[in-house]
Amino acid sequence: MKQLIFTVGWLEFTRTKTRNWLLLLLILGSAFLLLSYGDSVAGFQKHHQDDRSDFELISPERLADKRGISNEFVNLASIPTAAVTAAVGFFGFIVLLTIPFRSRQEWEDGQFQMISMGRFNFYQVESARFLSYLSLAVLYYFALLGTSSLYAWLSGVSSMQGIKTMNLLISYFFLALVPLMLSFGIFVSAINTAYYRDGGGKLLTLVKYVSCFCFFVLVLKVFRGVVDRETILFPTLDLHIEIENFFEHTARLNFEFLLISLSSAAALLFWSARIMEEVED
Amino acid sequence: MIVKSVVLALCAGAVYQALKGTGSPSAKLGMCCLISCTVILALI
Repeated sequence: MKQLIFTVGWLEFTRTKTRNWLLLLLILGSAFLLLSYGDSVAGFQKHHQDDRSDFELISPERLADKRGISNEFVNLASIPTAAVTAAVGFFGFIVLLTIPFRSRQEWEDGQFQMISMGRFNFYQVESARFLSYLSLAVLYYFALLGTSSLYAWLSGVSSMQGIKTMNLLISYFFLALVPLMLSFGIFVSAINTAYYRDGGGKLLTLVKYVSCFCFFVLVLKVFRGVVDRETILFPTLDLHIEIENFFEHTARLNFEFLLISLSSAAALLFWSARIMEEVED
Repeated sequence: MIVKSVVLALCAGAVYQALKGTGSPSAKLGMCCLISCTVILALI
């Protein structure tokens, strides 16, 4: 299985080369944007104008005291850090969504069919595909969170609690949405493969892609429905998010939605493997 | 109402094409479930 994961990972990495470069550019771009936020981002400050010595690392607590940032509540005081992180997170999510889709040419190249002719079945191949996409997504979001947390910490514009809140919130949405969307991509890709071989009309293609969009809307509706429910099975985690004079919201992290989302992801993955088995056998 | 009817008619056509487009029963079912997302959203 380890051999299969590495093989599929390498094949997928070469197939999605352009999108990997795009993700790398997004990370580098966000790092550049956060850096160019000016002197407030740089945690390294000189003692005074005439000082020719090296830069001094100012502790976040000192900077926070200097700028009068309250540590009493969970705080996301840095608008640029939060905005850049949210924007890059969203664009990365869109790029990651497109990664599982394979074109007709890529299907005809038959990378996965060749693997399946060996000792591996399609359940293993589809799981390996999922793991390779998930590892790419984890790498991307880990780099994004690392970069934004580092600059938020160095700048001192956001308290340590605020940074933890941002990390918790993004990690929750990552776990709740990314595995589901990757599985959904693999599922649509498997359906496409079935219709590549036997043919499908233009109307079907149109309705299929409209339905993909409708699926995302329905997921958001389910999320809202689950979060707004009065009776809950698991305890929720309330996070207070505040960007001074701009935005204030208490996010309720619901573990029921997480459970539904991860179970649906597993079911879609199983279903796509079954489709591939029926199509290729 | 007209938009809803057009969307539902398009979905019905797509379901017909989906059912005769492939030999795989799971793919047919998957495509019908996918199309049902549009139908549900059009109806609610």
